[in-house]
Amino acid sequence: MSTGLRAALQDAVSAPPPYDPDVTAIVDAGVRRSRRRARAAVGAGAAAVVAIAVTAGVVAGLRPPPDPEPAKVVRLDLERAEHVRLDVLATTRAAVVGQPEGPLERAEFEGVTSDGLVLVNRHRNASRALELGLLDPAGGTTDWLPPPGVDNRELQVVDLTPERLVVVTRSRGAYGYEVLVFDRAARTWQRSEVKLPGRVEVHVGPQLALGPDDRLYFGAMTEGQPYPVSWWSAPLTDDSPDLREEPELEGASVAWSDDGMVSADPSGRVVVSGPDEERVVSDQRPADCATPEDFPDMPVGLLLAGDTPVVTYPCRFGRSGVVSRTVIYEDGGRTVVEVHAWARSADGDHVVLASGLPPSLSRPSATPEDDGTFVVDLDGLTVSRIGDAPSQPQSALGAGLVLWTSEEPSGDRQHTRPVFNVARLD
Amino acid sequence: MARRDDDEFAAFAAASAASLRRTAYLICGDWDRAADVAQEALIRMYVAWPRLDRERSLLGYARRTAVRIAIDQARKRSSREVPTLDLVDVTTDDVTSQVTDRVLLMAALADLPPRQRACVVLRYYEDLSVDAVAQTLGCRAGTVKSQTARGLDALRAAYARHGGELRLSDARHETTDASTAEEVHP
Repeated sequence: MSTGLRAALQDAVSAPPPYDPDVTAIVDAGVRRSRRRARAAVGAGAAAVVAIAVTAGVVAGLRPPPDPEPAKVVRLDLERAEHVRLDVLATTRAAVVGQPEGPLERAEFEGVTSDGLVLVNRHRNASRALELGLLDPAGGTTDWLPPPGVDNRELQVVDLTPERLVVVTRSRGAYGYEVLVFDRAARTWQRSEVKLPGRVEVHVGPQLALGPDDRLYFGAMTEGQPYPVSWWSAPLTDDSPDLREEPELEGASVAWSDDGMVSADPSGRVVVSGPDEERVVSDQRPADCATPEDFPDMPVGLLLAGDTPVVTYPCRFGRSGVVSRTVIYEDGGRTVVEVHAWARSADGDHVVLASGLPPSLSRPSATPEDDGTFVVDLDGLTVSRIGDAPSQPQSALGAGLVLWTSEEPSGDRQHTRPVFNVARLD
Repeated sequence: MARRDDDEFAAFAAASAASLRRTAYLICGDWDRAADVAQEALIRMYVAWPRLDRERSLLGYARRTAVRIAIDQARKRSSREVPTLDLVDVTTDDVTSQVTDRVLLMAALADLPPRQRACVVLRYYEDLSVDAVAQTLGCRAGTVKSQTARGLDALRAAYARHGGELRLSDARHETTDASTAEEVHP
């Protein structure tokens, strides 16, 4: 039998299944992506010139009426999420093997810089010193940074840009935090210590937010008390920073976008406060999401996908259980995306979700939800499952890369160990 | 984008989506994934629309975008693809049926690395020149020639294993194919 290649190719597509592309949906997705691209193009520089008076934030007198009810509510079903297996570019397995300085206890990926490098944190058996490196996931090489000279205690990432790395660790003293800023060009660390008041919760790390005035904001709960979250701020690069109370922010979770300060509180009120106006994105909690009975002021989680607020609400479940509900407020709240999971990280195009609850919400009575790690595509408003539900969830997005954790056996049948993965999303 | 541009884009999308899906199908081998590729290509077209040069081929730009997306997706999926047809089970007699011939072609294409697959599809389905394929894939013309030649060799071998023969020449493409043969076997 003899087959002509051209004829065979034409024949292969000669009887396609029915296809009715939804051009309106394509245009809608294009509009959303264009909008995000345009905002991203304004860049971080714009944030610096947005003169935001923090005191005009959450409780300012000017408060226009809320926007009309959301025109569109999209509910994403995790059970129907397509399982996507991404080609992994790098894992911490490789980082642990073959270190010339000797074996490591473990390595962890802490975040992704906006120029596509992975922040690696290596832990040695014989040392408590913090050791960080920048891994190029394409080439597999790690640039180990000069030692910052602090202990390796509960690292939290604040900002990872081509210019600098900003991270925070616990200091030796109670209630103290080391703020570390690495100048990538000069390859030098700047270090300062911030001490929060003694009453704050120390078992759960503080919420951290970088303000446009280069002040670092710390939000913490009061230990053992159902009080609202309280806030303090300190200049990022002062050797001996003055800690300033931020009473106007009490009870809210905050972050800054190009449009101004975004705040979200347990009542479901989400507000964007710019220099000239205050825009209410939401004025109520999602439906069927009552505040937890024991802790009505439990803070919400707040991330920004570009300048889109992504809020994770703790919702009452049964008598004393808690489940997570994430709401993505697209188009200034005109499109509301709801999903039963916890938002772990976000960028202009995606949101990474994990099943379960943040550490601050963990309780024995929490109900297992659809287990897994998921990615929401903000263009198509679709959700995909990229992994299982690890016991040590970690996630980051940056430069088209996604970081997440999975689990594998650790050598005996009883235990597993986390594996940190990085893959390209687009 | 202005309303007029939106209307213009919507008309373009409606007219080109099916064609993009067909090309994507030949590269990814799955109609649903091909529809996703076409949609993603059109979304990217929408974002780029205001700055696209209308004097140049919009469909060419869309095709280039779709092919690159399809190749990227094929690479991501390569580690988890499960063959849907065991070619060893295909007998010579079966190959005579049109359906089996189609399955044989798609299975043989699926065995090619994504870039070789794209070269074959763009050269022999889209009838693009070597230079046009190079522009579409963002590589040198020499790379297109070598990738196409390797892809064709693999396809011929797949057909030969099952008692068939894959010709490059169709009657209506006799002239073109003569030059093609020179191009892919320098």
